[in-house]
Amino acid sequence: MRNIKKYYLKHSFYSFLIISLLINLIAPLTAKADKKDDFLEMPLTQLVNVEVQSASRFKQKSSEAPSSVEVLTAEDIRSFNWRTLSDALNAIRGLHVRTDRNYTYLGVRGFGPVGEYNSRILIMINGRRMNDALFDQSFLGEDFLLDMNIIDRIEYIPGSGSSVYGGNALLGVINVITKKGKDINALRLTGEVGSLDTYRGRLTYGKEWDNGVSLLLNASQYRSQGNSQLFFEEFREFNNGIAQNMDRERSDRLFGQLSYKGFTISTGYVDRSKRVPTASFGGIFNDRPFTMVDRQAFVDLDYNTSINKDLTLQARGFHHWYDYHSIEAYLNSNDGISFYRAVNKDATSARWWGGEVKLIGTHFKDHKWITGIDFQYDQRQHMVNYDFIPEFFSYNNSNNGGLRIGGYLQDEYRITNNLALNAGFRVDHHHLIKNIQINPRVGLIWNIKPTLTGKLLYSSAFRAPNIYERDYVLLDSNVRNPNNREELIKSYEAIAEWYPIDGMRFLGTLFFNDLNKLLIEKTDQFTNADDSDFNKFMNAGHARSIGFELQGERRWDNGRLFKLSWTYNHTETRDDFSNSPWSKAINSPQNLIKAHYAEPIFNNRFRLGFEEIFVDSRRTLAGESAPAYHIFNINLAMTKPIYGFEAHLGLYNVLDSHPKMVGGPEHVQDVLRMDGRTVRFRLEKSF
Amino acid sequence: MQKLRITIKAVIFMLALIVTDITYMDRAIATTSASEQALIAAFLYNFLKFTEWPREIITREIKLCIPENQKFKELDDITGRSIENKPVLIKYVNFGEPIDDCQLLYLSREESAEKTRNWLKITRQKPILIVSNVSEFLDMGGMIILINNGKTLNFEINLEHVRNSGLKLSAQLLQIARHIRDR
Repeated sequence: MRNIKKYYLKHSFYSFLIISLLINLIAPLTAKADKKDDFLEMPLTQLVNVEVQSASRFKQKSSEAPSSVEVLTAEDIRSFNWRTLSDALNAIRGLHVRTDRNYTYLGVRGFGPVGEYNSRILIMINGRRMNDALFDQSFLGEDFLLDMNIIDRIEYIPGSGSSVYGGNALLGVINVITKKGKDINALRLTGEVGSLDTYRGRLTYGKEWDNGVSLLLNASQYRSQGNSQLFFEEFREFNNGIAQNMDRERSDRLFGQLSYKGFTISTGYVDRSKRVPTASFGGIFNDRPFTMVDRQAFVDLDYNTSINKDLTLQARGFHHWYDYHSIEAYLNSNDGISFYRAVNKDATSARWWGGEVKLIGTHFKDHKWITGIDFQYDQRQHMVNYDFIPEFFSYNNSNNGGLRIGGYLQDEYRITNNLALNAGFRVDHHHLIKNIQINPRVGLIWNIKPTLTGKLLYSSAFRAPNIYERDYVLLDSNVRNPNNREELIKSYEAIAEWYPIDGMRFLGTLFFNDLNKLLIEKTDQFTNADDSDFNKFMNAGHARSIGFELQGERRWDNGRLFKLSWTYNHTETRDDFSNSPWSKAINSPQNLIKAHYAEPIFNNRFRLGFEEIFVDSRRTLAGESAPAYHIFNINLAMTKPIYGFEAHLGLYNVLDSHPKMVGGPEHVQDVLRMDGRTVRFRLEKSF
Repeated sequence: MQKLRITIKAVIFMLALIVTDITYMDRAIATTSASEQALIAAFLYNFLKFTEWPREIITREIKLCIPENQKFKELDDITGRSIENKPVLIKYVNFGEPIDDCQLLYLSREESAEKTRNWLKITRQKPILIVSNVSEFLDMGGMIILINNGKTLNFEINLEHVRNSGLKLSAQLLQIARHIRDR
């Protein structure tokens, strides 16, 4: 019965898509043939929705950027009601999100190794690095610093970007840009309820005064009971395999931004805690204290000014705090025969501050150059691990600190009217590696026609080992490795972008990523040292990924959107220990298909958004295959407030599929089953 | 596998549809963005369409006036069009010259606040629709202000000032305005 229902639903979904497409096919036929640019004859109701072109000189048009940039706007966030940054990223071509009911992880173009914390992606807020100074982690879920309502746009720049941004930009850069006070221009109260006992309350205030002072404040609280009865086959002997009330999540956030003239001061805070139901890292199943807590805060001071009409200066100083701890009960033993319950605390604390100066110049005809220096001083990189029940016993207590500094130069040279060369390099020093890193980038951009652009790109990037990979000691299974070095990537990409008409974009890419000296966790079989039975992170991994992406997108004046993307890749890995040749990479879906469709209804008062994400099967650590899955979401949003009220209704995973995510080395489970259909309702009142 | 096959079929079908869609694109040009000047011209043209001047003022043409130092080329597109069989003309004016034959006067934000106030003084109570995009224009005594919120262009109306001049704005205009004072 259930299956039949599912099939029916799926088919009705595709028929729906097809019908809506037919409508959009016929629509242009019936539409009056407007003369191009004839705004004079456009009705006023439409005129008020026409976007004013910004004359911002340095915001690159995406067809000029030396990459295949993808941008999600606040409008898209409204249309599809993405709950977290990871929801939004999951909508982007080539990205796929994995979650293990603890953190959220991002796979890029087929490369999504398990047992790491998004350290190969650089995540930024308003252009400033947000990866923490211990795990280099990118936080993407409720542990991300920003609420979705204050995000103006999300830029995804695929490919390696070390030539401008420094470390960690191996697979791509994600830059989240916040709204300004005038974008909110109100006091707004928001309440949200959802399935699995999920609640969110939020207060937002934004204003820009006539003297140019702009203020944005946002505070929110999130609580979710989660799935209160989670069944895990692997733990059938304990409590019948049911983790009771172990899926709770809590997150509190604050964000403030004050700007005046060229100065902007921003500050953010997030405190998120998650109970871990999976008994990962050798924990006792269904044992209450297992919780992970991540807290972060930052203060940024930016200064942006035009020195003269050809020279722009951007300067910034920042301070960042990050604290993490987890409490976990596990079975300890002194003799290997009798076991007792011990409670362990794993904690880290990091403080870092730094600054950057960037100059953008257009003095020379046909050239636009950018140069800059940035540094980050890792003042504290503290990591401890100890048992405190039944008695205190310390396993790890490590301290680090030092300087990361880099300088870069990039030039965009217009060789002819339709041919541009974008070349640059960056030099980096990082206190955890000995060598100076030099990473180049070369991009050739050819405007074949005004509407058609071709690009050829090459770049390399590095990633220094992080403190976790250097110093982590896990009970009696992991040891530190002071000898590990940087990882390297070389990436090659060919891109064709076509804008046949305004609002329509087609994109095709061909990519090859070559990753070497990847840090993987292995027992060291080669040395006969005392610690040869232990795991440690070593530069022994290799990965290569080849594939293509196709994307078509059309945006209409009235807010209608249709977007379809397909990513195909072939990703293989190998390590220096086993003699086996290249084999299919873990957690690497060969095909990713994403479809988005938004339709304004009832005179543009509401908007319906449909989202379909298909993720192909992925190989697990045990060599099995996690089956392919679909996620289909429907969202209904009000686009104009009525009496100051705005409502949003989101239906997530409508087909009630339970995707199986690939487990990591920390899990007993080979795959982790996710939740089915959920609902969220949000009501906002503006004053 | 079944799922994958269905998806791929759907994808191919959708791609085919998109491609057919493109063949029609020349006919259905959809422009999503425009320069601010082009939009201002379009708004002014619409304001002319939706304003009623007092009956006793009978003119053969409709004159849109702008101080000579503020003229912009996008306005030229309006010249030659007609509203209710009356041709629309653009007239460049200078402060001090008679402007009684103007139906609409546009003052841009490039003009100094003091000059704008002077313009408002000499046009007070005259049946001329005064529009500007200078901030606080409605407080100064203006009738319609054009507001660029960084994304789109919209307008607000001070109805009292409009009424005092003997002008009438159509309901459609009032409906679309973002805000109306002294309704």
